[in-house]
Amino acid sequence: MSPKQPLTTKQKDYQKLENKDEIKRPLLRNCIKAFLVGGFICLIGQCITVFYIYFFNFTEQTASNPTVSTLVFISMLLTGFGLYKKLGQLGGAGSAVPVTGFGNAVISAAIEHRSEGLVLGVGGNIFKLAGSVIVFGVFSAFVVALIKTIFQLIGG
Amino acid sequence: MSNRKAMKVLMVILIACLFITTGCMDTKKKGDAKWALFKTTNPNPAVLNETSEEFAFSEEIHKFVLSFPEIYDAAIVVGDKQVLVAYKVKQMQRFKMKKIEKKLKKKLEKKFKDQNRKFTVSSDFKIFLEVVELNENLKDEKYSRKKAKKHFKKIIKLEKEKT
Repeated sequence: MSPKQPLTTKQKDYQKLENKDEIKRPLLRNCIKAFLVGGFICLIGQCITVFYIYFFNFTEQTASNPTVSTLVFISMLLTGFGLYKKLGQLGGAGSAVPVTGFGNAVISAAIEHRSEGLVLGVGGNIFKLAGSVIVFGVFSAFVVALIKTIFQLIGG
Repeated sequence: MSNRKAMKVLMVILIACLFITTGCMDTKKKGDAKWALFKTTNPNPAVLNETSEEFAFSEEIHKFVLSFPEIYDAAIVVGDKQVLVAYKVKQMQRFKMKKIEKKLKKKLEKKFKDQNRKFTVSSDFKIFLEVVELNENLKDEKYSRKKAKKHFKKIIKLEKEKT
């Protein structure tokens, strides 16, 4: 890599001018918004968990699976109807970090490529964004399970 | 699709899901079981074989479990060979849930060694809810004890389920 070139006087002047007129990012406000939106999604998730525990035969441990699926399903619907992007604009990372962001990543990629056909367009691109997450999840689960099995075999 | 129309479709789907899923509910929860997930209920311990010794034994367990500073609510069912202890842990102590479970089980087994019974302890809300429900059912004298034993076994099976 070449060493960084020192800025010329003209460039420095331009930077000063830029800094003067640049609108500052409302970092704190964004953080609070992300916190509130993310927290709200988690609150809905908690309500769904309680719903599954109360009305179905799920324990606290097993209720997390249907809860995740429900949340992903809801976010997929919202993405399809074009409502999730509004939430994303408001909450930023707060809407992308929870599991709902996964559903959004899958469906938005599918919508983007639907004009290219069902197989090569939707099928080929649906996991373009979320595919790495799935592969990482499956592979890391496999490695951890392998390590656990080896330890159990050695340790009895 | 316009936004308003999309919202309407979404609402219809969500409401339909809600109706379908709640429609699957077979029985209504009664008494304490209605709010057992959210409120401190501290129900009287239940016994499957109603003898005075069993009642005394269950009361003793209840007192012992509540003597733990981390626990604020406990529901107990004493069966033939097994004792089911469901409890709620104080919010900030939930980080130490596994530790508390181990400690409680160990101390229970040590204290009631002479009873020769297996202790099943659980901090799971579902188990707590089920135990309170069984307890409410046992208050009803018409409720068949055979059914109660079946329910008891079902709860223990549910506790062992991991995934």
